[in-house]
Amino acid sequence: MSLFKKVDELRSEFKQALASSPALSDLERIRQDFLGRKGVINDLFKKMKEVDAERRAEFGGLINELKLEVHDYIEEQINEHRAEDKAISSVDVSLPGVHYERGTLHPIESTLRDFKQIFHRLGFSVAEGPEIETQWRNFDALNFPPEHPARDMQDTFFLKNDSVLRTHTSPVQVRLMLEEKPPIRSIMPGRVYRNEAIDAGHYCLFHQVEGLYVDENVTMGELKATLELFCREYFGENVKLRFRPSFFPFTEPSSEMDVSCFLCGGKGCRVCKQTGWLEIGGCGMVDPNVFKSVDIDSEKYTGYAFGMGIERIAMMKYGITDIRLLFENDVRFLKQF
Amino acid sequence: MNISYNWLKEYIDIDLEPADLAAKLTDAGLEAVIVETLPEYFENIVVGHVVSKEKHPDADKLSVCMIDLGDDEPRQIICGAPNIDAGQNVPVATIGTTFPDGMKIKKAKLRGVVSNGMVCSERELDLSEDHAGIMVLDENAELGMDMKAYLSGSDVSIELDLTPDRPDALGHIGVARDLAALLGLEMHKPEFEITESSTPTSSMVSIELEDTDACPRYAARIVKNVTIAESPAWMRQRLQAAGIRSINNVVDAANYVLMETGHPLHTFDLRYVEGEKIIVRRATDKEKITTLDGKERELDDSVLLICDGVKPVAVAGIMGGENSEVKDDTTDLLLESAYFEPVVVRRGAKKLQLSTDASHRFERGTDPNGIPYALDRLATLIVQVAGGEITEGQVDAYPNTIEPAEVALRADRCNAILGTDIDTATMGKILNGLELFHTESDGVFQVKVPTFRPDITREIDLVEEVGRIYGYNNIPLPNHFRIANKTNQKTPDQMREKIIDHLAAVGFNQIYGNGLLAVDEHPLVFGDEEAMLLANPLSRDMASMRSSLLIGMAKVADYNINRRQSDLRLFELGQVSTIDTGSDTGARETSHLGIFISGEIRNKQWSQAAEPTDVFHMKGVLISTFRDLFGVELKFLAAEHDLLTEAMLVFMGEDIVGVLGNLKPVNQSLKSVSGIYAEIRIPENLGLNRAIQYKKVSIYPAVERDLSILIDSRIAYGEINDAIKKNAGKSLVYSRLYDIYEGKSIASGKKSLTFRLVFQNEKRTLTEKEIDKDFKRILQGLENAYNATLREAI
Repeated sequence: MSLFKKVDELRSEFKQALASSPALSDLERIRQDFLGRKGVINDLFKKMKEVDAERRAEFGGLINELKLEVHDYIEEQINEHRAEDKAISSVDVSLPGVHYERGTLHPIESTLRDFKQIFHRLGFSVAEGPEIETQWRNFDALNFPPEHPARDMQDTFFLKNDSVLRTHTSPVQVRLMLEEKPPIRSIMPGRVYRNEAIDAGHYCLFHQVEGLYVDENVTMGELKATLELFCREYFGENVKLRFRPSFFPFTEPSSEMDVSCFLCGGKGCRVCKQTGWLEIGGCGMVDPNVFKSVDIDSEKYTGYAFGMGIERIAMMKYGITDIRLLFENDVRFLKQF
Repeated sequence: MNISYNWLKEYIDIDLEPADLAAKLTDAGLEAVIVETLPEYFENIVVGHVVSKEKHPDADKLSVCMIDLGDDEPRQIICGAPNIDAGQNVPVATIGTTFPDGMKIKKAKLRGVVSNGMVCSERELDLSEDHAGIMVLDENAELGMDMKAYLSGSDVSIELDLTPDRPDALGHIGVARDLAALLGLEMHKPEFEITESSTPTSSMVSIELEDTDACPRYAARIVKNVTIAESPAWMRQRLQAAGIRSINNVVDAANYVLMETGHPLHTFDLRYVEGEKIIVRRATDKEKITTLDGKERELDDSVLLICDGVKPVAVAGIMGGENSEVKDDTTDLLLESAYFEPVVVRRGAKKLQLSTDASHRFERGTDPNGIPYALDRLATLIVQVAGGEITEGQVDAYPNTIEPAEVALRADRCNAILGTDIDTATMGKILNGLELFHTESDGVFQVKVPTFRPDITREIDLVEEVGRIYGYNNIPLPNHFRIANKTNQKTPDQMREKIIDHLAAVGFNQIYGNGLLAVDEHPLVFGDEEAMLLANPLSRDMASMRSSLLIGMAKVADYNINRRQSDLRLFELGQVSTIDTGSDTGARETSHLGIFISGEIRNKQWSQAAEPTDVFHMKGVLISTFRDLFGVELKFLAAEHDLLTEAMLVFMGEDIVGVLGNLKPVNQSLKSVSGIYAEIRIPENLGLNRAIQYKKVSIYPAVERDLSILIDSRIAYGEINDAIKKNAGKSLVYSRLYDIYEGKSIASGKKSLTFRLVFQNEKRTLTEKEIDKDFKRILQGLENAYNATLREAI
């Protein structure tokens, strides 16, 4: 196709572009497409040298003509638009609205709220307890033998009076079972402490949500169903849940729970370390020794318990890769939630 | 712990691929992942056959070799090792190999002769310290095979992350046993025959147990005339896959049996065992021993020792002594297979700050009745790889036999807990697969629990075994949930959520502070703070529990102000603690609300002026929070406060619940933080008794009047406001201070207050006359009590 023909073609392309009465912002784009430094008209200028020498002047004239035509027409259109807007409103509606600063919930709080909402729906109430606990409630009553490694100074913070900073929210289970007769159906959120060096993945304190259901005939099947429903509500309908036998002093049988990685859907990626699974917490059937310490008849009643780390799940959900961000409280971080 | 796929197959005929095997184990509670034990660059190092060797024309120490890598034609490679020779198989780093230190093998000329690769020594491959010459490979090795395949024997390593209750799975046989139960297959332990000489072992060594609680069983054997050498390739490959470095044939054999049976064993050089006896006793205070790692260790009576007739020779269950170590010239061995009490080994390991493969297993519980098997297995294996002869019989000190526990399992109870419907036959099969042999009648199993399963002592433990092998993921899910007809709500959780939501809605950002502070970071906000101190803090700046939220808040403010974020509205709702000797934890914990404001509430905008902050912003936030959410009226009184200027005490009724004011510099490191701070102790029962009762909205018109008075400037607004309310009568429904003025056009010492008053009656329209009367009464009251005068319209 000859370059001369191309000029005519561009002209009709331009007319077509304006045929649909474009808005102001579209006009700006059309201007760029045709008249911009990388626009189609400039492209034609660059092809000047392909034209036979004797016809170059003629070709240049034609392009300039087209350029002027396009320029004038767009200017005219823009002015028309502005006049129309002015006729509709006497104020400049593009001025910024008065700014009202919204506050924010901390991501740990909002994650916890999501949890509570789902478990409320499943009939769980909320129980809480202190962060400083007796060793009996934190360990003994939960069937930790006296020689258990968790009782070492390198794992647990001890206070000068021999109390401990609770290492899990499970002592609230103990308090609850001592105060209440079954049925008991509660979740127990709270802050817990571990004597761990601080790095991107660890902090000396974090938050847990623990759940407990004690009643007649409570089964592991119910435990699984409860957690599966929770995971579907929280992570989405397509999430898969996996239970792996594990060991905790206060439950027997005990299990870890994994969800299929929400990033890769289980195929394996960086977040799930190529396993396709993300560990979200532990669970199991309340150990008869725990019932014994709180004076509940383990032949009559059974129960399940589960626990999850809030930070861990919040980090997965929001793509936070360093736990320290949660405790630095940079407002530029906080305002994103 | 790493296990080898090929090794496992010796004990059970599995046809699962390694990945499927790992998944199967994980589902049964033995968390398994496939791992690489050899570095990736070994893929570029291949077996080559030295076809010829010539002297380098220009260098005495170099040889020019033609090496066949099993492909098209042999390559010319220059080698400097003295031991290289034609006919050998050697590892060749091919062109392109990059070593971990960054060295890259390129085609190069050495003294004018081209070299197409490098022949490697063991040290160059980080396999040992041997750098005397190149590594010579097996003569039957397949040419061109890479070192990954050569060294692993095409094996796959599987890393097991085991829970501490499963010591039985700390060896290949134990893992195979779980697999047998899972897959319904037979597991077969290695069978062997032991050949003994006629010398009775008991004539050469005797055993004395001084503490049979700490060491209930100790057995020994003697093997004479062994030859210490390198282990055969098959054994080295196995250990390599299991992540254990090869040392020599005797030590390797002991490690091999450890990885096979899970039972730790020890070998002594018999030359250095004096007095023909072994004594197991507690260490005395300050007694010393130098362990195999060359460290001298000071002991106390928490540590159990293995001694000969005159000296300690090993720390029981943890590490051998240097003085009796097997060396290159060792010929006669004493083999130890023993059972040490887990708690004793744990305490000893803690005392010595030493964790070994042996202590790891003894701490978790080894099998006291598996001792003779492991000992015989080790003796025969040593003879197999190092020669020698085994003397007659074991010397076995086992005064009190540890019997298998008898535990009953009710099939219906098991199903009731799991929520399953597993029939008795299936349950019986699962138990048998795990060697939990039993009798059964009427759905009750009487199980004899073998001593290699110390974790099973109760019915519930057997329930877990059944569940584990049946598969947690096979337990069916009920379609409905039971919701208890009862509430256990025990906390002011909803009250706190309301506060948080309210503050977020009016523009505050919630923070979560670190609750651990330095011991000198407890400024007296309320005056009664006594911090709980940690006995083992992580660091000095986290050695106590927060007694108020102030420091945490100031640190967050400081962090943000240092990053040029100075318009801050922050709050935290969290627990703080103070000493309370009356509580069983020694502490009292309360919920506190801390609020911080700095900079501008609103920056200047095109249609709005900037809104700066002052203490009355904070006061307003507090009033709205507690009045609007809970119907609680706060009272504020001026007070002196060490930490605050323009300080106020905040009251609920008669109780001081908080403080508010301009923050003074908190301490040296937080001196840049300035702003308005308030902290409130939230009562547990806040808002509990609030019952909102609807009040009818009047349909009659409201009338507004403005009241502007002049009074002595020392009189507080609060007094005037109270007086207005007192004198107003029922019709005054609303009053608002909207101007306060001192200065020009007003007598000095006076101020003017201007109120908007709104009058309204519920039952009828108020007349002008009635309103005038109310207005006059208000003014009269102010004149009488405060000498106020009506200010004329300006």
